[in-house]
Order: sequence, then C-alpha cells, then structure tokens
Amino acid sequence: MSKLILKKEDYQKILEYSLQYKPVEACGIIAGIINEDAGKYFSTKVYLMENTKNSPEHYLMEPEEQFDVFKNMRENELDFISVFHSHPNSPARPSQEDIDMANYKEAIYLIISLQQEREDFRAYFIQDEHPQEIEIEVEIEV
Amino acid sequence: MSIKITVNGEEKEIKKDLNLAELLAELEVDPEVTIVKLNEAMVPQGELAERYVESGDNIEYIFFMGGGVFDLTEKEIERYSRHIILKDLGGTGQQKIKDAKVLVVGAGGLGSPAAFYLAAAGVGTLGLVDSDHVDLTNLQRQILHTTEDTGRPKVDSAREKLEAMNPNVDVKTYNQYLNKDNMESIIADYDIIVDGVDNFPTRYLLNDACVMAGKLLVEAGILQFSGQLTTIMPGEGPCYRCIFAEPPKEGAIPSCQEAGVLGAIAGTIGTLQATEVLKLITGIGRPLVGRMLVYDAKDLSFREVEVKKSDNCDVCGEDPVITELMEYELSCNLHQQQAEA
Repeated sequence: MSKLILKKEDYQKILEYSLQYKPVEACGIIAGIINEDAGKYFSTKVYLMENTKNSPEHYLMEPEEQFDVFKNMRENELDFISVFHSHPNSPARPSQEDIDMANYKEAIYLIISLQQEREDFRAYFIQDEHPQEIEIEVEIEV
Repeated sequence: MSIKITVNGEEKEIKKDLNLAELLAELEVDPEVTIVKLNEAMVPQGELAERYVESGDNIEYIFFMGGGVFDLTEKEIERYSRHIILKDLGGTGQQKIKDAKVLVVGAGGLGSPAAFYLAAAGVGTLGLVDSDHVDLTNLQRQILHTTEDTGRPKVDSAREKLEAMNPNVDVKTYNQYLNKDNMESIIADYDIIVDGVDNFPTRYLLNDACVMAGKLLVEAGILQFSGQLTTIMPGEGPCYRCIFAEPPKEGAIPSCQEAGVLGAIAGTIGTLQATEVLKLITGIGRPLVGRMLVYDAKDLSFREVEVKKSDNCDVCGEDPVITELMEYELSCNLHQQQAEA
C-alpha cells in the first residue's frame, strides 16, 4: 500500500495557500523522494503554482511555470511525486474533470477540500480513469 | 542512423529524421495533453509534425496539469447541452442538478411528470415512494405507467421508465406507505421533497416531517379542474399548516377518486413542481415561498395568493404543539384536544 508522507511544514504550506486562495482553487506541485520498494512518497519541497483559470471550479497550471518547476526538480535531483489542488466548496474526491485531466499516471493527486470547517486532505493515484485512494501521513519533524 | 538528444534532462538516442510528433509517439506520449519545448522555445501543437529533431537538441515536455469540480462526462455534457448553454444555469448549475437528491412522494398524477422531468434534467439521485399498484383508472393522468403495467407496483413501473429516460439517474424506490415511523428515515437522505400524495393524512405528516428536518418541500394538489402549488422552506416562509391549520374533516373535501380530475392538470402542476425543484437546486429565480399559485384550467388562468407564516402554527409557530410526528387522527383538533386534556 502506497503512502504519501508530508512534512508538517509542507502540509501547513499547502493548507495556508489553499485557504488564502479560497474561493478560488489553489494548485501546486510536490517534489520529494520516492522509495519505490516501500511504496513511500516523501515530500521535501512544495511549489505553489498559479491557477491560470482563477476559478472556484477549475484549475490549470501555467505551462512556463510548470517547465521551470520540472527543471528545478531535475537540478535538485528531486522526484516529482504529486500534483495538488484545492476544492473550496466540494469534497476531496476527484471529479470527472480531475480524472479526465490526470495526465501524470505515476503522480499522486492530492485534493484539499475546504468545504467543511476542518480541511480534508486526500490522495489518489488515478490510472485508467480509476482513482485509488492512498494513505497520507503527516510527519512532524523532531 | 541514430542521433543523441536530451529529453527532460536525460540523454537519449533516437532514430534520425524524426519530427516531434513522431518522437512523442516513440515515447508513447499523447500529444493532445502535452506541451513541448524545443531548445527552450515552446512548439505549438499544430507544428509538432513540421519540426524535425536534430542531434544535440534539448527537448522538454510537460502534460497539462488541471482539473475542476465538474463531474459531468462528455456524454452528459452533450445530453444536457441545452441546459448548459443557459446563461443562468451553465455547467455549474448542471453539476448542482447532478449532485442533488430529490424525493418524489407518490408515483401518481403529480409524481409522474415531476419525476420524469427531474430524471430528464439529470437529478443525480431520485427517490420514489409509493405503495400502490398501477390501476387502469390511473392511466388517464399517471404518465409514468402504461396499460401493460396494470397490477404492477407503481415504483417498479416508474423506475423502469425513469431509467430508460436517463440511465445516469440513480433511482431509489420505496414500496411503502409513508407513516410516522418510516418518514424521517426516508426523507433524511434527500435535499428536496416533492409532494405528490393523494390524501390529507400523508400531506400533513410530510409537511410536519419536512419542517422538523428542515427539508425543502414542493407542495401541490390537484382536483377536478384546478391545482395549487407552493414551496415550503422551513424557517423562511409558511408551512402547509400555517396556511391550512388543520386537515379537513373526513369527507369535507372529495378526493380525485370521488370528484374526478382532468388528467392534463396533473401534467401542468407536476411540471411546475419539477421546475420549482430545479430552481431550488440551482438557486435560479425566486422560489414560490410565501406564495401559493392557484391554477384554474376552465379559465386557463393562474392566480397568486400571498400566504404568511403563522406564529400560532402547530408545527412551526412560536410555541409548537407538534414536536414529534403523529398520524392524521391524532393531529386533528390539537388545540381542542389539549383543552380537553
């Protein structure tokens, strides 16, 4: 069973960014280290991206910004592990549109729902149009 | 002959004389969702087949990263396209319709057109409650059922027609008579309730249950050549008991069975109920709260009557005496019963 392991500060950074952009959808990319044998995906860096749609219902990252992030990941020898976006007014499950646009088969799609008072983080692999939820662990640094 | 290039930071050896479209095919990448950069310059999708890869080229590609809240499939977008192009409704409204859960109580005269239009509109979850079987006398107005359905449970016949109309709708059926014991649990799963019942005990019980649970109720009735309709929004406007404090004495108002009804009136009023439900789901327009629409088919006229919330209402007033569901017999003349007690 795969697991997304978020550093506490990364979790906070994603949450704060999502709240800051509410009611518009926030989006970004998480880079880190993949331990394939253990099925563990550790976050080490969060890239906060611009939502070119600037919409409460859609997100689309800016391609140039996306190219820069992938270049930066390569330069820092980081693995690309996850794409995140917020659902300001709906549950943390992938919509049909999210599924249709899940072009990175190897990536974890992290959705942050802000619908309820308390945030809800959920992570999925989306392959062949089937989202499969995986566990999330928030790692507190000591 | 092969050449060396860099693809997303990795050196690769590829066949000579490939264009970018062919290179993407070799890499098993879908060009429709891909943005390509050749030596730091983005290449428009339409030019991929015209740009040939040369030795030492640096190629980067990314996939579109995006999404949205819409759960509509391409087929659904096509099916509901006449809704989606409505400026006030759009994809957002259609998504709300898909997410909605509506319960139609009674698969009869009013329930037939209401459920048909709600299913056609794409209401995601449509509940149907009815304990009756289809009777030949129903067919003059209950368009969910056909002659062949005579004798079948109405909910089975209705489900078949609604699923044929729109397979995207999750039709849930309750082949039961609504009473104080099953009412709360059935309505709990729904956002909006459509009243298509044919008797006063259930009408009052449904009103009370919706008020207590805070559920929207689109209330309607038909008889002979007339019909009436109002929307009950608990806390915001009057409930059925605010308007008609107590059920009429048994026999005071004849039923459709006794007095008859022009079949097409069920179509008019049931369709208005469906319209009102779709307005409530999407937030479009002004709901029929605090107003009762009265339809006179002989004159073919509509009249709007203002109806007010009553502070003395037994169920939603300042000092309600109905605090738990009770059946019709008990709910009659409550004040009198209390005085006697």
